[in-house]
Amino acid sequence: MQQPEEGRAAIGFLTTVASASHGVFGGYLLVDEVGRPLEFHCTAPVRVSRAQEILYGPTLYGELHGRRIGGSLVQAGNVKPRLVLVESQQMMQLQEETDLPVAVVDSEQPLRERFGDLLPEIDLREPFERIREAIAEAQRHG
Amino acid sequence: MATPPLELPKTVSSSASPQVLSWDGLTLPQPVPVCLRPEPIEVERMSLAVSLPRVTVRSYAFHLPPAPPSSRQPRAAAASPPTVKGDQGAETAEPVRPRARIKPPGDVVKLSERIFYLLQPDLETILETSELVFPHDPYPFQYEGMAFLAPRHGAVLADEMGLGKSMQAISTIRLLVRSGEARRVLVVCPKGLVSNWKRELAEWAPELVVAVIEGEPARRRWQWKLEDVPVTLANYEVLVRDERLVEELKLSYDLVVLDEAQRIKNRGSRTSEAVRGLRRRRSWALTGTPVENSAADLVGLFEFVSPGMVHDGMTPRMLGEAVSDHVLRRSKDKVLKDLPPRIDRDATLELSSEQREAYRLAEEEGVFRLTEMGPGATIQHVFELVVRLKQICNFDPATQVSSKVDRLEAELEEVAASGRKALVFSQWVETLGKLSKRLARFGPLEYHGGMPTSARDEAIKRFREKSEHSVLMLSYGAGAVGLNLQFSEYVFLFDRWWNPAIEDQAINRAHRIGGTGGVTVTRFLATGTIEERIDRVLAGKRDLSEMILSTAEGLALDSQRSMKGFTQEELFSLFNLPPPARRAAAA
Repeated sequence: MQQPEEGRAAIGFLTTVASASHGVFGGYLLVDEVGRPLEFHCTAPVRVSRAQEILYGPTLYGELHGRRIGGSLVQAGNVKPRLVLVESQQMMQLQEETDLPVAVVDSEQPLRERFGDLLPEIDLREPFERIREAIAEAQRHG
Repeated sequence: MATPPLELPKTVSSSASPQVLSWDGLTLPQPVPVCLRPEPIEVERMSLAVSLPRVTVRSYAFHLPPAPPSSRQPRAAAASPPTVKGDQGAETAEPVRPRARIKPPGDVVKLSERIFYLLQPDLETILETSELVFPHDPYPFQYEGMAFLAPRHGAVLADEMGLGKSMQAISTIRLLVRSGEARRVLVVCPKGLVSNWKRELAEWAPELVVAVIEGEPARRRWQWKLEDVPVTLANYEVLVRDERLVEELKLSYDLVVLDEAQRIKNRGSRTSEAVRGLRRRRSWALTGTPVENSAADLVGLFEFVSPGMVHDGMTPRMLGEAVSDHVLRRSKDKVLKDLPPRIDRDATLELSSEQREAYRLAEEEGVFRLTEMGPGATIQHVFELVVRLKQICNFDPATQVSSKVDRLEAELEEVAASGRKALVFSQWVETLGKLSKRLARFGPLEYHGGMPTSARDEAIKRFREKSEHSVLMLSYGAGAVGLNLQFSEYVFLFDRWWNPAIEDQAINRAHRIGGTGGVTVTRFLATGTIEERIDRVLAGKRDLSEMILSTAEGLALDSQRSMKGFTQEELFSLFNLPPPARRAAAA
């Protein structure tokens, strides 16, 4: 995994999008310190069987979204981010698949207090919207 | 690591010794003996695949120019929108305005390119972080206009006049130059708007070097050949004249922007040919004229914007569908919530060479005379000089050449083409007459105190009811109570009054209750002249209420009375002369 260019610190944003007809898509966006995209990785849709839904039960979300999809996406990244942000506590299971620090964007103020200058000066929820739009676009184009 | 398949135990026996069943590390307690059947039960082994599916990842990498050096102050966390206190003191959140996003245009088909656009931060963030400072905050719809232009190779920005088309184009040019997507940009505009573009470029993009193509042929050749100049500014006439030169020099541009692009609607014209011959990657057209009025005009425009996209014979519906992704038009009533109900803008312009020479001579001679008079110079003498100079700012006495009329004509083209109506104010009836002759194609009507009442009423009626009359020329003094022209959305102050309150009264002929759209007020101001100095004095005065005289009618009858808005000192200071009392004391 590469380090970003000198003077360009990367932050990762990772999320999943569930589609009733296709399955679960994952998207991982790496941005620089001003929020511009460096890399984007997205998954083909992942479907689980009914049996797997039953067997995994409430652990399915974390296992599938966090570990399996999230882990695959983070491994696909070339640039090593200083931090990976996710949208929910369940996605924190990603931590089991990577050494990178992972945090949940549930409240911006405590996050900024904790990670300070690591974070780009943008609305931290906004990149997730970009990921969703990009996934939707990729879905439209097949 | 894959999870091993689950294997159920082969047999269950009541008499079997206790067994420990384990699955994937989960240890079950020993089963209790059961006596359901006397004989052993055969259970079929089953395996279920519980490994979660493999994940296939597709990757995109983007190459960005180096990030600008960060001189930003870290901002406080703004997770929630700012709040305002209501009447009861309770705080309520201000509605968060969605920020402008750059979206991929319809003609971008490559998925990686479309995704690239979608993954960009919002435009406001891009501008903030690229440290492009604006002299004034753009309106939200102007950010959207920039977001529309930025990714497009072919675009028509068709906002109504007064909504800042040139500002949006200039700001987007800045963005493209900063990001390295454009190194050479050519802006083409009518001759009367060159100085306006120079001013707007200086105001909105001060860091961009601009070369203006003008002057003698040898000079123009040198200007065309200049390299490392991001923006070149030329007028249509010069472009036609230098068409062969541009071809000979094999000049090419990353972006060509046409202002008042309706100039090229006639495909057979030399102007249209010259413009279409320019080598370019991007083609933007700025025009306030609704493009849907004439199919042939639209086809002509798109011969520049995106050749081959549309053609004669297409139905209006087909045309509309074909160009929909390339045309952005906002009317004032749609963006009114973003706008104040009245937009004031100064049309600063330079005098023509003829006017400049006449002005210089008149001012020198006049100031010399005032100086010679010494303490004998009165306000009346100053007033006469001011009037003479102001009239030269309107028209050159010998040739009647007027840079103000050139500019007004360009503006009225858009007004008329969009079916709107305009008012033009001047303090002199004679000026109104000259304007009526020069602007005859807009069906001008006059309204001033020298007309009988019946003629004035008829003029108003025809202006209101007949579409062929796009402009009404009025004198400041003729604004009688009850004159109701709120259907006029454009007001031009051809020359300035002494008293801003009187100007407001004139403007309020159009800007009043019942008006359906905002009013755009354009004040003409000749730079480096008495008009500019008067404007500075007026702007500097703190207590404007002293300048408001009792009745407009009084002002109409005696324009000199209006000068009581200026102190004696201020009047003489217009020519850097001490007032008479001080001169007498000095003597």
